[in-house]
Amino acid sequence: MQETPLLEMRNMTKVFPGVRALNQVSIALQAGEVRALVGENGAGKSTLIKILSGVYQPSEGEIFLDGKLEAVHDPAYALKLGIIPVHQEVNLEPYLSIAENIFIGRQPRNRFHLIDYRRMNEDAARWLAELGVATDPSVPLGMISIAERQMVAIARAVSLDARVVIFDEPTSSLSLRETERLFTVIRRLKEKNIAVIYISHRLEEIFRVCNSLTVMRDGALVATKTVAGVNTDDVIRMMIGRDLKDLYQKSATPVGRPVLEVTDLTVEGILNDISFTLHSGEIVGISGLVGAGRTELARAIFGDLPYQAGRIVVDGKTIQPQCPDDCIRAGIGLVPEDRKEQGLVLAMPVVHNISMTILGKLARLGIIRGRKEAQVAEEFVRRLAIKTPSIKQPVQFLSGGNQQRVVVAKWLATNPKVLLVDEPTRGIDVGAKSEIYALLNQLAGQGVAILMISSELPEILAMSDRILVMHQGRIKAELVGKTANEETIMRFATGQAA
Amino acid sequence: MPQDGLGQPEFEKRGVAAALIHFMVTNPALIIPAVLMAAGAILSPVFLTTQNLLNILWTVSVLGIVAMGQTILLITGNFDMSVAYVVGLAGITAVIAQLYGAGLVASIVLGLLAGALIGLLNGAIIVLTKANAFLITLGTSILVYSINLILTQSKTWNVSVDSFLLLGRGKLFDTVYYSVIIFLLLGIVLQFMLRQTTFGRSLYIIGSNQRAGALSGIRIDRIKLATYVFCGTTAALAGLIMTARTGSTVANAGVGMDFDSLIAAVLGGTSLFGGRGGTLRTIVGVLILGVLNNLLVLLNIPYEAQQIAKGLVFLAVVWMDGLLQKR
Repeated sequence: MQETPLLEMRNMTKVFPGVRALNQVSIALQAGEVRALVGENGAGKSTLIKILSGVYQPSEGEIFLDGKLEAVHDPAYALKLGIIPVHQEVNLEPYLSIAENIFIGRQPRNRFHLIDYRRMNEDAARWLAELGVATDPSVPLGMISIAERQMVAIARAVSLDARVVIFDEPTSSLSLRETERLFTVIRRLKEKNIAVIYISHRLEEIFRVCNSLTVMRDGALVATKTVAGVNTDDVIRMMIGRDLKDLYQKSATPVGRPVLEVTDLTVEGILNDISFTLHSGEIVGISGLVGAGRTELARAIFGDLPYQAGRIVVDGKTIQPQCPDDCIRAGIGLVPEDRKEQGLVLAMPVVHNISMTILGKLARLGIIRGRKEAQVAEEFVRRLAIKTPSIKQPVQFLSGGNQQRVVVAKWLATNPKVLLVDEPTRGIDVGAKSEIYALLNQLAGQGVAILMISSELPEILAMSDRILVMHQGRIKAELVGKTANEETIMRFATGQAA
Repeated sequence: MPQDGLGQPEFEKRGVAAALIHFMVTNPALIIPAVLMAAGAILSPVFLTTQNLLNILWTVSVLGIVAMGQTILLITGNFDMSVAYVVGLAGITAVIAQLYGAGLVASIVLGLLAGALIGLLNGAIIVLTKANAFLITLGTSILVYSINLILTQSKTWNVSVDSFLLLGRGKLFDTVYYSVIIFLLLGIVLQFMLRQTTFGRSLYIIGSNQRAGALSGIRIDRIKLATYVFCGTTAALAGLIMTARTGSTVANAGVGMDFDSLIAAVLGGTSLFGGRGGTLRTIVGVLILGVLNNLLVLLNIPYEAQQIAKGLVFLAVVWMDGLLQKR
């Protein structure tokens, strides 16, 4: 029996400058279906969801609700249509009560047009009861646990006549028991003929609560299957794929002396007893899921995140960085995750961006030597093949790949011993990616020790001499050679293996 | 496919005429004085006389010096709303010091120090609490005003060291006032600092993208502190000159200079959002204010209307600054 699907997204495509985040993705959900959406970081899952919930507009593609074409032009309209996202960080008001949160903007009024608190609390209690939750609705939201807040968000969704509820990594902050309760609630949603989209890395959960799953990779749809028809290995294989073209060429570099030794680094609540050593000429990959603490590790080493315990030794000298400047002087550089917000001053020209880290060296008595500055910039533009009409071009007009090269140039200018790179090829198309890899290899060949954080498994597998897998603030595994493969990384990253 | 030189600004393709229009739109400061001067020449026979024009320069010098410090802060994306009362404090400190026997140099140094200390206070609070600069400095301005009231006991105090008066009333070679020279020189030297020194470059970086600057090794806190101390000191210098001109000081000397210095800087093209601007532009901005005021006075427009005019100008300028920011 072929019924009209409750939700259908057809040929969804989204192009950002320089990168195609979604390519002709089509999915269809029946009422009461719980569909898992799986894929690695960067596969396009959140882009698809953002289009569905009105945050982005698709470059191509249509959305159909109950067979009717709908243009979801902003998040408010998505809510009106009954498309309700439940976010990981539940963004409701902590100072308002549960009932007030459920009825934000539409509080029931009495005959004087004042808020009818009694009716509001009663209605809220009813919605919560439908989900099997029995919390006093007059309690301020901030006083209940995250799991319960999630329940409130779901209750709100249901009370808003939700047709499609989207969960994004809902269980990352939940205990086992709370997760169970969430699953019960999701089953209730199913009974109400609400379609549920469930984004998660946790495959065992998906197998428990979902009817079907859609696997995405590199912005495209790989397959949609019923949960009954696949097993874990199948899913992982679909997520990873076999696209390891000779995009990555890792040249064998002789590994030299230890340049960075981190011992027992601890940042309360974020990092726990991190220890590892980085050698000159080595590329060590840091793998792990969002929230594992990878970027925080880089920030802590770089003096951007204070740590409570541990030691950092660079080239034999212990450092106690109070700020990034201390680390730069010690010979560490950081190519940050978000090049636009953290790596570049977009309004400034290429030359000023490259010289930012070495202003002191370019100046005599505090006065910048403009010609020297220009020379250095020209040299890096040449060396890194940065495509720009001139060094005076504001970097905001460069493509993503070239912007990234400017950031790398800025760090090379400091002659670092250690280079921390966080998601070096994020938002960069395939052609430019391989050039960045070649660059990193070259640097390693010149003796720089590189710590590479990446969410792209093929990238990290091809580029790294060793891979450290992080999970919840700890290094769970060090993988070398044959033990380094996609499945093993995923298993440690999702906390499945010990 | 990699797209290079993405989104080239259109004017580079459209030629000189479009480039000129773009320049005028992004530097409104340069058309406005031209327009005002023309209006002035037409509306009043006295306007274009040397006497009048020199008078304008003299009048704006005090505010101009305050605006210099404010400009430096604005480039980093910060504000100092306590400058008005620091102007007063400096004069008061100098005058009272003189009554206790301090000579020319000592009283000037003490006056400047008073401003520097308030600047240090502002900077320290803002750096440590990371709270909103505008609000914090409004708070310290009240503090400074109270200090002024206490020190002056709400009375007027007179300068007692005659040589001190030269600062405000003296002329170099009997032609140009010292205060005007200080104002213009400060503008030029600071502009050089902004464009040619590492410190100046750091200011623009902090104003445009503080996070990227911090991650590039720029010592944000130290620099911010230094800019506040500088702003306090320039306000103090202005206050000393003002006191030297009038020969006396009161608790609320300098009132209104907080907003006026902001208006002047923004009129000149320094953005309230940080990352853009310069002190040469502020000279122009201050002149615009001066010409505007002068015109209104010459045309006998009542005081209330002058204030309305100033308010409208401020709104217009902030609006334009906001529009430019969105580009």
